Formats: sequence, structure tokens, C-alpha cells
Amino acid sequence: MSVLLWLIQLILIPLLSPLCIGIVRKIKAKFQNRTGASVLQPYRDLWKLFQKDEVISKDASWIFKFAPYFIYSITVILGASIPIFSTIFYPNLLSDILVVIYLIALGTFFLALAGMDSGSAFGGFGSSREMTVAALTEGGLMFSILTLAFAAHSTNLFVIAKNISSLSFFSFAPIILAFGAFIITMLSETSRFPFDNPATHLELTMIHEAMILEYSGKRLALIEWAAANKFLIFLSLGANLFFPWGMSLTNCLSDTLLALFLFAVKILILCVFVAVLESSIAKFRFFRLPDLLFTSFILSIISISLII
Amino acid sequence: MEGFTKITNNQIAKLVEIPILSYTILRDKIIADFKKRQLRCIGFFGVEESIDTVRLFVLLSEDSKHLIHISSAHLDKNSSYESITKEISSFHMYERDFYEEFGIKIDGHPWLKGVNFRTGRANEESCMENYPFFKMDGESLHEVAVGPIHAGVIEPGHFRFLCNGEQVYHLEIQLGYQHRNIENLFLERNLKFMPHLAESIAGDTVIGHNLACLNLIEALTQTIIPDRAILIRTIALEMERAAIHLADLSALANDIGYLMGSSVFGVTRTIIINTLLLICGNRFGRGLMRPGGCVFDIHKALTEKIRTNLSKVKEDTIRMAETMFKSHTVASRFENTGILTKEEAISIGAVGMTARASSYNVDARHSHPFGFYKKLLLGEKTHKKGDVHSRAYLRYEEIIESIEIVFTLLNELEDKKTGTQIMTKIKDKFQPSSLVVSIVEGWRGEIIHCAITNNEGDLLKYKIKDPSLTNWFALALAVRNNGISDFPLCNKSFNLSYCGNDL
Repeated sequence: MSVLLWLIQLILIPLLSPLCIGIVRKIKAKFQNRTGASVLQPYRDLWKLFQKDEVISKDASWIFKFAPYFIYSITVILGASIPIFSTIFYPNLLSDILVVIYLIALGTFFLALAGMDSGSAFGGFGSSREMTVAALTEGGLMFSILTLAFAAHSTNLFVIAKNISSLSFFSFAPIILAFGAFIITMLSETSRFPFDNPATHLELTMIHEAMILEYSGKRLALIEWAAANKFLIFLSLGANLFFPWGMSLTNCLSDTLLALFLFAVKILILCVFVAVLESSIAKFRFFRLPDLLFTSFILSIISISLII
Repeated sequence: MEGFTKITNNQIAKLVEIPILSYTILRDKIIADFKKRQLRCIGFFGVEESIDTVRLFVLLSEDSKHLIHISSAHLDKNSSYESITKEISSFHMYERDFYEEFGIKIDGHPWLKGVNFRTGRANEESCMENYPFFKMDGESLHEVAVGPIHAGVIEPGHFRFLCNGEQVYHLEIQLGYQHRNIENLFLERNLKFMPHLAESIAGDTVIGHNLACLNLIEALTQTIIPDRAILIRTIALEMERAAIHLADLSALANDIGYLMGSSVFGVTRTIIINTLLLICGNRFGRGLMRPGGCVFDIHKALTEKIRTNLSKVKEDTIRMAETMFKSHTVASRFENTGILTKEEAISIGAVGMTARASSYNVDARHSHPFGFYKKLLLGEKTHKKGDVHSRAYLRYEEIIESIEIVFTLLNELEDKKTGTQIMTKIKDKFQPSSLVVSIVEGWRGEIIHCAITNNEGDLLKYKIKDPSLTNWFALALAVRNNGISDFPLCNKSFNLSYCGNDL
């Protein structure tokens, strides 16, 4: 049984992440009075890209060739080490806050390196912007999850999830504040509105897309897939750390199925939230992004001071 | 003005009546009168008279009196001449264009390089491959080259940014990829074929350019066309204006990721062009107007259909635009982005909505009324700031105004006095030895077609000036000191034509 649970834990994020992207796109299409592509379209896109040949710039070094595998593996490892449906995996050494956050940062670092590697002007722009944003995001992300660590007296994500779910309803005010801070950093880390426009074709305004502009074929598929994984990882962190009710505490099958169902519902709600947000506001000017990230940081500080 | 002949829009000037001055005197007169009388240069081109000499024509517009002043000078191809741009910077594009065509050296011009790399240019060695880009040195500066092939469905053109990090110091725009030698094609064709050429000058200004060409043909053959045809042409022109402005609002919304605005404006624009389809069988109005009048009539049932469609467009546009311009995220992107000041607009000779958004009121419907605009009372719409918001909001106001104009014209169309004739016979021979200027306010700004005939009545010169020729420089000025990521937004707010510049 636990082998099965481990298997689910391991493959759930990569398996479902394209679907999340598909759902967000579908809702956005509905908001624009379009039918939109099927929610399964991201899977087809990945399949198509995996069949394609690649063009690699002759100026590209090993970093360019190696980065997609690295970035993709990091998201798979992360996916296996965060609470998704069950808290029984808590002895997992990789589930510490610091490990998770800095694994995310490591992925970003390699993506930025790969962006600059081929020497195109757009890649450089993308990397420079990404690093500016990532440096400011880190504080907000770290401190918002630290709030939970203080509340749960542990830095292990599974223990946090378990302890938060047993907190009384009245102690949730700082956690809601921290969730606000987390949402802002989530939008930033996953390159969504108002930070970045995942659907844009304008090279000069891109952040994430500019870095991967030089990629094609299989490596592009890996990077796209990794980006989708990262999106689902953040949704899961948001859903399961701040609202951890319904996670199974045992390895019994009925509990697990119920937990999986509740996980799907929570993720769906967050997907709808992201899609509605993207349909109703415009992307921010790049120089206004730091303001938003500072807001996130300050929210986290306030919530921590409320707990201590 | 002494030394100049004056004519109005679509009026013939006999070539013998146009004074020939010496270049120095012509230059002095232009410089002396330009500021005083608030003139604008609307034409500066040459006609080859012999192997060595070129007759230079200068067309100046005096907007307040609805006049066009024309004068000319003989230039020797082998000598060089003092630039007017040194004193009046709005001549700079015209002088570059003139220099490119004939290779006559213009001394003291600060920026003498190719405009569209036309066929048969004097210096074949100057080509796009060796274009002399403006350079800046500095450790923190870097160049970003974009195009000629772009992401998305736009025309080819090369943009070279000089940036300090995210900040743009300078943008140089190099065009010419769309050059089709269209001005000279006009000389080879008879007047039946000319509208076909005019319709393909710029795909988004089919009606505007065609109307300018037709007004010119009808002036040169001295044809008076039926009132009903004039009405239908004006309706089409205003519908084109509303449709393209809507498309641009949609594109502006898309650029800042405001998806609702993007899709709603896109849909409403389709309603307008589908209405044009009902009128003439083409969504962009190709084939609607031909020399002598219009090919398609707007009958009773169609009038009603146009009214219902445009009422819907008006209602949807107002609702969407009010929501969009009130949204704070949109305002923060639009306001203070890409500012073009009034002084800058005047100094580069900007025209049309670009100029009006910077409170420089240039509107050929006022200054050189043609067709039905002689009878129409239009409000003057200008904005002070000259930022993206001004241009976007001006477009919104012009859409509503255009729809109102169409409603008025539809009433006129139903009036018994208007008559039912839409086509009249046209002579197939032009007036000999004449010059005629035809100005039409297209959605982008004033479109100027100018033709000169020889003593047999054949075309000797056909000169087209699309508003884009002068307005491209407005974009370059507007993005200075802005973030480079705001460039697409600035670009869309002007939405200039590549092929209108390249011809």
C-alpha cells in the first residue's frame, strides 16, 4: 500500500500539471467569449514538442543543453517532497522549508543562466528581469511560509500541514495574512499576471518566455512541463499548507481517495482564482512590480509578529 | 504669399502658373513665412526635367485659410543645396526622401539617409545592408535589434534600440522591406486601374487611399460626381476609421494583457467590417468606389441594417471603453507612457490623430475639407498630454464621433433631394500640364496624393504621402526614456503603416 502511495506522491504533480494549465486557459477563454482549446491541449502540445527536432545555437554552451533536464528534475523532486494528499511522508528529508524554497531558487538560477547562455538580447533581458523579480520574491515567500513554521513549531512541511489543520479557527488571522503574501509570491514565481503574461508574443515585454525563447523541440517541452509543474507545486503549497484540512493522516485507501478528491477541489478553486484574476486586470509595468513584492514581504512580517 | 501659387484641395494648378524661383530665394521665403503664417509642409518632391536638372516642387499648407501654396525651383543634379531642415526640422523626412530619389546633395541636413530604398534611387550602393545606424558608446549601454520579422501578425521593419538596462535612450527605425515601387506603377497604368493600386497602398487604409486617388482623378478629368456617391464614400471612410480604431484599442488592451478589452473591441470591430461586407462584398471596402462614383448603392433595407449594427457597436464600445479607462491597472500602464509633447509633434510635422493627441490640431477634414465634410460640422478633438492614454482615449472619442457622422449621413442618404444616381461617366483623358493635390483625412491622418501631368495629359509624376512617413519619428521620440518593455504599447498606440512609408 505505501509503495502505491509513494508512487502517487511521485507522479501526481507531473501528471496533473498540464491539466491545471489547460483549465486556467479554458476559463480565460470563456471569459473572452471564446470556446478555447480543450483542457487536454497542454498534453498534446507537450507530445507534439517531444516529437520535434531541435535547433541549438552554435554559441550555446553545456549549460543551455543541460539546464532543461536539471530544471525539470528539480520540479519532480519538489513535487515528491511537498504535502499533496497525505501527511505520512513526513520523515522525508527534502521536505524542509529551506530545502524546498532554495530548490525552487536553484531552478530559477539555472533557467536564468540558460537564458543568457545563447547570447541573444532577449534572453539577457529575460534573465535580468527574472533575477530582479526572484530576488525580491524570495523574502516574501520565505517569510510567508515561516509564519506557518512558527505557528506549527516545525519547519517540516508535512508536520506544518498536520499541525495547522489542528489549530483552532480563531488563530487563523495571521495565517490568512500570510496566505495573501504567499499568493503574491506565487503569481511572481509562476510568471502569471500581474507579473508576466504567459500568453504574450511580444519579446520586449516577456520575463519567463524571453529566457526560453531560444529553446525548441524536446528541451522546450521539458521546460514548459517544468513550468507547469512549478505552477501546480505552488498551488499545492498554497492549498495544503494554509488550508490543510482533509489530508489523510493514515495510509488507508478510503482516506487517501477522499484526500485526493479534496486536493483536486482546492486546486480547482485556486485555478479559477488565477484565471479570474488574469481576465480582469492588466499586467503591471515592470517598475511597479517591486512595490507589490514589498507588500507581500510586509504582510508576512505582520503575520509573523502576530504569532510571536 | 509672394512667389507661390495658391490652390485649394482638389483644385487644378496649371504648371505654367507655378512660379520657378531660384532655390536660395525659395528657401528664404519658406523660412521667412513658415512660423509667421503657421504653415505645414505637405509635399517636397522633384520631377526630372533633363538629365541634369530636377524641378523641385514645394507644397505648403495654410490650414486656417484652407489653402495650399505651391512653388518650384530648378536644381542642378551635380551641385549641392542648403538644407531647409536646419531651420525647420519638419522638412527632414521630405528632404531625405528627395535626396534618396535624385541623389542631390543637401548640405547641413543632420540625418541624410535612406527612407525606403526605392527602386531607381540615385545611389544604388546605399542599401538596407549598410544602413548607417546611430551609435552611442558607453559601458552600460547595449543595443537590442528587433525585426524585420516580428512575433505576431505585423509587417516587416527593423527597430534598433540603444538601451541603458531597461531604459531606452534612442530608437532608430529602419524601413523599406515593403517597397513595391507603387508611385511609378501609377505612371504605367490608365485611370481605370489606378484605384486598384491605390487600394493596395496600405491594407488598413483601403478606403482612405482610394478616396484620395479618386478625388485626384476626378479633379484631373473635371468630373462632378453625384451627391449620393459622395455620401456613400464618406460613410465608408468614417466606418473605416471606426473599425481600425477599434482594432487598435483591442490590440492596446491585448498588449497590456487586459484580455476582456482585447476580445470585446475585437468583436465590435468585426461587426463594422462585416457591415462594409454587406455594402460592397469586401470587408475592407475594396471595389466600393471607382472613378465617377460608387459601384454599390446603400438602399433602404441596408440603411436600416447599418443603423442597427452601428448602434450595437456604439453601445458596446461605450460600455467596454468606460470600464477599461476606469480600471486602475490599465490607467497605470497607459498614463505617462510614451509622451510626445506638442513641441515635438510640431517639430517633426506630425499629422492626424498622433498630432491631435498631443494637442496639435491637424485635421484635413477641417483644414482642407473634401466631399461631404464641407457641409459637416465636426467638433475639434484634441488631448493635452500626448501619452498612450491620450491616443487611446482620442481613438475612443473618434469612434463615437464617426458613428454619429455615419448616422447623419444615412439620414441625408434617405433624403429625397439626394437623388438615386451613384455613378457618372468620366472622361478618360487628364487635363494636360497640370498639378493637382488631393488630401483626405484617413484614420491615421492626412493622406496626400499629388499628380503632375505632361502636355499630352499623361501622368508625369504621382506622389503619395502617407501620414506614417512623418509620424514614424513620433514613435522614436515617444519611447525615449521609457522602459523598453513599454515599447510594444507605444508602438500600438500609433499603429503606423510600414507599407505606407515604403510605398
